Amino acid sequence: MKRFFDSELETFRSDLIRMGEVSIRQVRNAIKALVEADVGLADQVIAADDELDDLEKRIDNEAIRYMNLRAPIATELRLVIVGMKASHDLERVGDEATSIAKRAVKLAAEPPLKAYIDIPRMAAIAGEMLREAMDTFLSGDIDKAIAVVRRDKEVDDINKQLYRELSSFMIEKPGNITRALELMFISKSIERIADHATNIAEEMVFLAQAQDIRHLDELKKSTRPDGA
Amino acid sequence: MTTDVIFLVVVILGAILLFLILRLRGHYHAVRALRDALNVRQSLLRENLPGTLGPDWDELCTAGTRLIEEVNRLDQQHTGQLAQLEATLGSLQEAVLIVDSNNYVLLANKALQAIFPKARNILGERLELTLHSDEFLRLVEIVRQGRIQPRQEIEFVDASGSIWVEVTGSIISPLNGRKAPSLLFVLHDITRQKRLENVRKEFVANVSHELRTPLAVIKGYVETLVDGQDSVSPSDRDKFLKTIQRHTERLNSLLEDLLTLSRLESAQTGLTREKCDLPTWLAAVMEDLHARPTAVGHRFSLSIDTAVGTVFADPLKLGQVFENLVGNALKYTPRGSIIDMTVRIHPVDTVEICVRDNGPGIPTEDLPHIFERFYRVDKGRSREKGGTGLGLSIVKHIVQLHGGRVWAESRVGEGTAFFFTLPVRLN
Repeated sequence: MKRFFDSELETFRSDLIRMGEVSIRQVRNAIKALVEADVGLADQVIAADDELDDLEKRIDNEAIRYMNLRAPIATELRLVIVGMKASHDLERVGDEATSIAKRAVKLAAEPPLKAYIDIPRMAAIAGEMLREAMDTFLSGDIDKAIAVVRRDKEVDDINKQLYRELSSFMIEKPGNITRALELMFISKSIERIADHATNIAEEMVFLAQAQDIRHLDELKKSTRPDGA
Repeated sequence: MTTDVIFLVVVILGAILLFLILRLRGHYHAVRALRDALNVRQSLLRENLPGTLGPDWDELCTAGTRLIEEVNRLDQQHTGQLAQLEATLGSLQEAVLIVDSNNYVLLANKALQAIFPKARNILGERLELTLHSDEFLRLVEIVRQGRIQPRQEIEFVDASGSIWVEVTGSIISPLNGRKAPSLLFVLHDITRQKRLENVRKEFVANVSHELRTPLAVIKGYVETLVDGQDSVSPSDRDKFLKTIQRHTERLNSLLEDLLTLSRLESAQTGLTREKCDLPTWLAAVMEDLHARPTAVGHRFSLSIDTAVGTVFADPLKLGQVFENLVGNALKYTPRGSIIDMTVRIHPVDTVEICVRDNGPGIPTEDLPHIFERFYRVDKGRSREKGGTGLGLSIVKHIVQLHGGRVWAESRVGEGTAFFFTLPVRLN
């Protein structure tokens, strides 16, 4: 059993874990709303964004209070800083999910441009990355965090491929442009979600080992988790 | 001098022992350690000292022995209670989960692992690592705050799919020497019910849709006929009435299929099995087929393995199976197509019947679903051809009632083959 935080920071930690769960759910539901053209679910996603905003504010306030009162050092200081940064990333994930949901409402009124296969696949990878990154927060498993950073390229590649495909739809028929553009923005949102998951994973490595692995080229080149 | 020191040590040990027994009654490990310590102490005493230590020593030994007996008794009682508790928790259908104030798992029974296969190493870990749901985390907080929460349905989603669970939670007194109270959750797996509920909802939605479509058409034409009696020409009226008739027939066949399916599913109508000579029976079926107006222009071929003889089957129901399979083949193949039936023994004691056409075929992704109720490969066209969407579902039920199985093989552009088996002997 690994316990590395002061019990006073329990609420802080629980809030962050919950924020992770809520943002993962938001992404999942936004994509479901898009694929199933479920406007009701999309509205739910849009409404639930406030929950993430509140949690972010709570985490920030608690972090500032703790820093003022306890002047934390070493692990505790890292936890407080990482918590604030990760909560910001998760809040942005929530915003991207809301943006997808809003576009899903618009797209639900029209026939689908193409079968939704790549977008859910991409979203599933981004969701898994978020899940793994948040699990690292609890387990401190550095290898898993590094695997998340490496997976980012997978999502980037699908995004680029979708971009090309959707551009060809637009060239083919001007009537496709509006829908193709919406799908391009959705694809970009998912790509951003994966980026936030990567940020969180990097922050978790910093939390566990006080080591900064951001912007390391050798980590970003490989798409395979084992780095091969 | 030495005796005095030993006496003093034993008295102190005894006092500690008594104190601990009273204090740690029920604490399995502490009790066992204490007993071991006393055993060792006593054997040391016996080995090192001759047996003439006077009445004080005897009394002390008796007290010590009594203490050991008491400890043993408590130990056994406790072990028994523990085993009983573990067995009870292990055999419970409901998953039981106890977490401490920081969400670390103190206890999880086997049923929890059955619901969540990932929960194998959950003990001692934070529950958020295995049980992924923000709703559940919210419930944990609510229970921790002492607020009463009714039974709640919670969905846990993982890469492998959704698990639906009904959860109740409550606060229990601290465990394992912890100061803050622990939380107890009882989880009941309702994934199956949820799935069935979805199937039911889908079925009701499908039935309503299928019933509403012909009704809307009938209603539209009837309204036109009633409102515009003078303006509708006799030829249009005839056309309208024919359309109404066609849709009424469709409604009728849909209701009949639904009733057949419902009777088959409720298993109220058992099979009236009789000895049935398959070659003779199939020859008669072929004759009937040739006589059908819809079969005009189609060619039929029948090849029966010489080993095929009699089966025990319900001829009426078996007729319906052929009716539906050949009917489908006729519906989806152009005139002049060949519908080929082959019957053989494969494997031993099983008759395998195949109805093959050279129609448009079924895409691979649709193949696993074609025996589901109302599943349509070509959503628009099949309704035009008068299908109810229940035919293959009826086929599947009848074949399964006979103890056989049914499947299809197909290639787009080449045709489809439906296979079903019938056991030669009755079980």
